Amino acid sequence: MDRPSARGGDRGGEVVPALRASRVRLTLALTAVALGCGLAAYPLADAGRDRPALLPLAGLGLLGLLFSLAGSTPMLAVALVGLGAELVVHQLATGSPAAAAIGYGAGLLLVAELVRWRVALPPAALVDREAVRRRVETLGATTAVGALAAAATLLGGGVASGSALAAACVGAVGAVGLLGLARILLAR
Amino acid sequence: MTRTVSRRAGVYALTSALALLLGLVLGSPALAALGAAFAAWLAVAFACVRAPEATVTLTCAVERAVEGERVPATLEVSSHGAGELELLLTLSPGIALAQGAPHLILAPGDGPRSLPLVLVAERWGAYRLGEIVVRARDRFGLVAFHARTEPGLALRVYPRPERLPRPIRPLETQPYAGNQVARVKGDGIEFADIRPFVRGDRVRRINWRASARRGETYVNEAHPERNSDVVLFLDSFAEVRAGAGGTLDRAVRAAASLARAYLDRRDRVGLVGFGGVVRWLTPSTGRTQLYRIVDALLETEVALSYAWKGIDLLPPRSLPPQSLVVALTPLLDERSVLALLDLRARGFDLVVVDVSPLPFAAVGGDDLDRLALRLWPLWREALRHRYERLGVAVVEWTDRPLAEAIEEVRSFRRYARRASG
Repeated sequence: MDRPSARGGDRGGEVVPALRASRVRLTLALTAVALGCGLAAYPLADAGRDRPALLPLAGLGLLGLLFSLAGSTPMLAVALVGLGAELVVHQLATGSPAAAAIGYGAGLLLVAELVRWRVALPPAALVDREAVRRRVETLGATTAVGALAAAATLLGGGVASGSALAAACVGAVGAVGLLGLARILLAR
Repeated sequence: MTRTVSRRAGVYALTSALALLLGLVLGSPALAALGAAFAAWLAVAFACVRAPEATVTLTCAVERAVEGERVPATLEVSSHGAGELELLLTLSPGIALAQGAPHLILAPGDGPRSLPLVLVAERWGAYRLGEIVVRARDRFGLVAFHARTEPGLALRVYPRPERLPRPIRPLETQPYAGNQVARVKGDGIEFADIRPFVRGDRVRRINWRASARRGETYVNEAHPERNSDVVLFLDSFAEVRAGAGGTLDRAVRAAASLARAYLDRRDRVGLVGFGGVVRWLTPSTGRTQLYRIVDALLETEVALSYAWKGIDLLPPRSLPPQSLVVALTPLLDERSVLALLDLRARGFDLVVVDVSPLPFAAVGGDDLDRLALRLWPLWREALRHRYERLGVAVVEWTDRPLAEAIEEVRSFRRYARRASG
């Protein structure tokens, strides 16, 4: 009981330069909402008569986005479907080029990743700056993968052998991809 | 190590399947492109998943600490194959984190990392330092691997002793040398009286001045310095707790303080834990005994028991004759109340420190509760008077320092001695 207390000073180890998770969560939420609004606004920007059809879809997408930011995973699917449907309806109505789907698909993927990162981050935790840097890099890679995949699909769909055949090819590639994915899931 | 796949894998799979199917049906390349983005991400993410290896250990600089002391600790983290590590350190109640974060998200580096923490021991006790939950995620955060490690690290937190400059003087002393001036006469330093010289007295004890005045040889008598036996009687039948404090906490702190004070005076100190579990330590002296007592105090807890227990359960050696018994009790359980009366009836020099539960009692909302709270102190006061009538020094110890309560006991005993003399 009379032992002297442990000495202070340098005892080795490293101090982790950390960020408060609450601030990171706020940044992620704001970024996701801003990006979601941008994606919702893009088809509306040059909408004509199809605006009344697009507005509910944009609203549904943004509502789903807000609910998913609050932690609901099913609402993330609603947000993705709503925003994706808005672009497709716009393209079907106006016949605008499909190339926009490259950026739009990558954007949707990015929004989804931001939302899930925000939800998975515990509010009371401290986050290593290096971990945040890595996550940002991963988000960049995610966007690139999404854009590349969308571009590759559009390139495949652009093969001049009739639109029905192209669509069939796209569907076949998608089906093969899904089967492969299911196999990977089952194998693990 | 358990594994969970992120729920967003299902959302992405559903989205991509829906988009690809509708793209096929509607002949829309844009829809197919949207679906392909998600499908490709899933394929890449799953292809990158590897089972990580992570090792997390918590090391502590000391094994023993005193209440309120800050204890440096280190969290050693090493991992291989993880994209991100999430650590959640759950400490045992009574141990808190003074510096560092209990919940940390790390990017594992190339080698092992050591993160300094500072723990603070808030309450006495013997602790295992809690558990660490490790969650390792892959680079894309798709699959999480969970593991739970129980640190085998033990930390003993001793109660912070209060300084007692003048502990209670026992009425009787033992035959061994100590710091206590005995009431009997013998060889010692403290002058007691003079008496006529008898054969066998030492010449150096002759009081020449008194001998010259009285015309015959007188010698000085002295009080010898002896030690005494002190038994700390800790009542653990019941306690009243509120928030982080309680009567048992205070009683254990007081017992540690008293043990330290008496052992510093070279007295023999024993311990009797009287409650649902009865335990005892026979009186002994020295620094080893102090640690023995404090270690025994750390394991004190209130164990519910309906069995009737009396002093007869205790072995005679745990309560030596002519010992001072200092009882630390909240006077809540009839068994301990009657056991103390029994001790007094057997002639033990008894002191009762009433660790008052009143500061920890919650006030009820209705009139009946308020009436009960007014009657309870009166009932307790009557009980204390019952002890006083038997010549037992009893003091109510509330929020004031223990030294004050002890001083009150000392003055009571001084007064009682004069009254009986």
